[in-house]
Amino acid sequence: MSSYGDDEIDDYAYGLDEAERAARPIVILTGLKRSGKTSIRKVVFQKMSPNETLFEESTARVTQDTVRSSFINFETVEFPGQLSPFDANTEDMFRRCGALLFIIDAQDDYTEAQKTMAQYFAQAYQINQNIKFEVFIHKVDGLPEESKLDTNFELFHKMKEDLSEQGLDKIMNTVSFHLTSIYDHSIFEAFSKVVQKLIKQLPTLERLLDIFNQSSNVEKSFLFDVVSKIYIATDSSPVEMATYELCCDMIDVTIDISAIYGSKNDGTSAFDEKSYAEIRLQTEQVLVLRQLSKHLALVCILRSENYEKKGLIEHNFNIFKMGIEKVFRVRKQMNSGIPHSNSSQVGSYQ
Amino acid sequence: MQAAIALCHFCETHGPRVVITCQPIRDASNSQIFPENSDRGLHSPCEPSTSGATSPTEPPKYYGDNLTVVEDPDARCDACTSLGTTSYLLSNDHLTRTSYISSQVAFSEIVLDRIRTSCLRSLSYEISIPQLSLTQKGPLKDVNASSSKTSNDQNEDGKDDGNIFYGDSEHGYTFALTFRIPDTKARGLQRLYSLLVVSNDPTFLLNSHDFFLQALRSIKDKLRSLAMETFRRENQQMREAEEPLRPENASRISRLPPNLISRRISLDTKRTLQTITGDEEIWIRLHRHMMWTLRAQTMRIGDVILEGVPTQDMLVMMEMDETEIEELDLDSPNSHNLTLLQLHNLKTIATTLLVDGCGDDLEMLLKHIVTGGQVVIESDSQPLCRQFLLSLTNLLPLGCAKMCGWSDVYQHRFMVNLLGCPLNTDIPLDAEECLVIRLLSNGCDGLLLDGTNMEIRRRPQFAALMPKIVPRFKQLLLDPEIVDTILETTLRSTREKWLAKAKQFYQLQRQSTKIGFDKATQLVRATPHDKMVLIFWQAGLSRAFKEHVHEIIREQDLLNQKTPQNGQSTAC
Repeated sequence: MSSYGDDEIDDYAYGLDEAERAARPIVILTGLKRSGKTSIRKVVFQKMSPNETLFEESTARVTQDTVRSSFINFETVEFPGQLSPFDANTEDMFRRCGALLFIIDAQDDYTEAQKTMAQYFAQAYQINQNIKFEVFIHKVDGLPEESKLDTNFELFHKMKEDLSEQGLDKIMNTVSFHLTSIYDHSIFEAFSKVVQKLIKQLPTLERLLDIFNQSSNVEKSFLFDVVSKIYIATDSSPVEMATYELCCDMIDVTIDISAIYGSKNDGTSAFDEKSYAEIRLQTEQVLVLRQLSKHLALVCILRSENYEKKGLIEHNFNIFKMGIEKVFRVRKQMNSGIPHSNSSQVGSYQ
Repeated sequence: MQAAIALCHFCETHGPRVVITCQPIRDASNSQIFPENSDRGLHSPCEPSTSGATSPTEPPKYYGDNLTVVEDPDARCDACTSLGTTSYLLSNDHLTRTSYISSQVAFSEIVLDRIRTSCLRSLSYEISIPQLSLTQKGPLKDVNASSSKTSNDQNEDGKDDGNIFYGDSEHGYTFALTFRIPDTKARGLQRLYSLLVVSNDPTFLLNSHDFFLQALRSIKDKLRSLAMETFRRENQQMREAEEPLRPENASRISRLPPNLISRRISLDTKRTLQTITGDEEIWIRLHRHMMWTLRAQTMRIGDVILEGVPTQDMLVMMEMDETEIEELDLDSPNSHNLTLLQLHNLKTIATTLLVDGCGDDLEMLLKHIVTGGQVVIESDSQPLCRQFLLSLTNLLPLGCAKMCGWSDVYQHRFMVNLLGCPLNTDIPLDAEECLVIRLLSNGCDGLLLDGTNMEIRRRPQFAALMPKIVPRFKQLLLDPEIVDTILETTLRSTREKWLAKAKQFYQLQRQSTKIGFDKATQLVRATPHDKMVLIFWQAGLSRAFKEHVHEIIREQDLLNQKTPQNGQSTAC
């Protein structure tokens, strides 16, 4: 088992509890062999270059990873395509399961995959009715644009037929389809949506972002998990792929530049919770990145004429940050059940 | 089933599969499946025979009950197939009455079930982390001598591969070694295999942990080195065709456009182990490895039931070779009757020598035997000669009797002290201290020496001074009122009495503070005439006892060295 993120709870401005650890939801990755499960996991969470995934061995073991940062806190469990996840004694795992991902190789014949998927979903639903079902129609980079949507449509209908035969129509309400590829940002976006469903505070976060946008005249803002480039929340306006990609690239640029020019002598990275960056684009737009904590960053895009009042944005950002802290405080108190003073937590922000 | 060994593979198409299982099948009953005259190869290594291919008409012979053929429950492709469902490899171990059978599907449903469960666990669930402790930097780093070897493994294996022990009473216990071997056509250029030792007995597996680890590792190394050769060869061929693909280039290749590479990797996940290793005989090789791993364990762990404290003779017998035991007729089931027969013969010899020979021939023979001199019997009858010698062995501790029942040439006294040979064998004149007796059968056959003719042909130098044991033996053998059963007991107790003295003598002589020879003789209540007996009979002491004595003396010496120092420190 490997863990991503930082294990030291004290490092967080708002930490995670032991009790939460047990309640940590599980994201289960399934799919037929060679559909790209390991590649997705490695590209999203371990920063592997997409081309390197060609040299991945077939996964024989049930692989468990912990993904953890301030908001994101879950485990991924990947089952080898040759094994059914229901063969072994995995009922407890499915009880804790938040999302069940089924990955389909779109470049291959997916009849068998679709059958297996319907069967897995039905079985999982019987164990835990709260599971979110996610279908990744993967490797779409090799498909022409029009057949992507055809595939999506066809799979949707076949699934609907199969499940209604078993009298499980209502599962379809919780199934989402995503077209993904590891060669572009679509996999990050799809995973973002999966993860967002696991975050209970999502409506509050969205509301906070909306208020921030309104008061600062910001066009679009994302709350990013920096390492995985998953956005855990955005405002309520629709997400354009191009904007998302722009923000992802900005994070990469910022991290790279701090690594090259900002590294201190003791080897620690200059990229930390105090980092911030702004990039002015030719399109009269400004990209602004502000770190909220070690793992979280707020990235927003705004028109350059609205960026003249920096002080206002700065002030709004601090208010926003305090709002986020409050969300965590409530969560922490709910978990521990004991109200306590937060001097130490707030102290770290002074 | 004490344990079974299996090779498992994570098949790209089918998932975890048991490829080949080697299981021992024991003969619990006394029924003889093998005819008496068949080769009871006690020392010959068991050679595997391929059944089905060699003699389709005659079913192969094996120990144990009839085997139930279990149907293969799994779908298979070439990659997870070994011998197929109809043929198997068989080795018979006649010594332990065990047959080792290697097959694709195990012969018992329980075994099959356990191995399949264990196979799934070893390949898909269990993770070995021996590397963690070794890669830790700290004072413990260099304690383990094998750390370099293990770190080498670490480079070649995936991070979760290695040895592991797991199991429960319901599904049996397993010692597993998971490893990868290179294959140019596999995904990631490697294939995952595991070797399992499955047993019901966790203590057996844990006690032999190091042995199994070593044995399984050597199998792994062999497979890997064979596969590596094929890998290099195929890579070479590929290099000739186009640029080579090596795992270490993976990071550099990431800069190339994706289509370029995917075109080059041609996967073929259905290649057999024979193809990967380039060895057609790989299954036989594996069978041999697995069979010997199991057999070595059986040979190492053998139970001996003892009644009371073992005597030196019993210990010596346990330490003896099979040939020696056969030569001395000790493996016979009705040894008591044999001993009685030998004693009867011994009495006959004593009476004959007393009556026919010159006055003290009997005493001379007795003394000659107990002091380690060589007795050579020239005879026209091999069985009678052998009986003569066997009856003489009753006068000696087991370890002292170096007998050769029949030999065409003379053998030196350091090799054998009881030698039988045909008439007129050339016995060198300079063979010292050799007592030669000519035994003529006079038409007698069978095993009794009554009516035979004995003549002493060569006499060694003879001193009148007798060890105390000689008159005692003479008295016992000549007393007509002592029946054979009593004679057996009294002879044994006399032997043991003197063996105990030899034992004491041995112990005294080995002490670090030297005890004079005469003093030692005196301490064990022997006379100087018994010196030769005491020295010679030390050969009848068991190795275990001798080692024990040395051990104790060493410990005492160490203790003695420490004590004076302690004394000084307290004085200070």
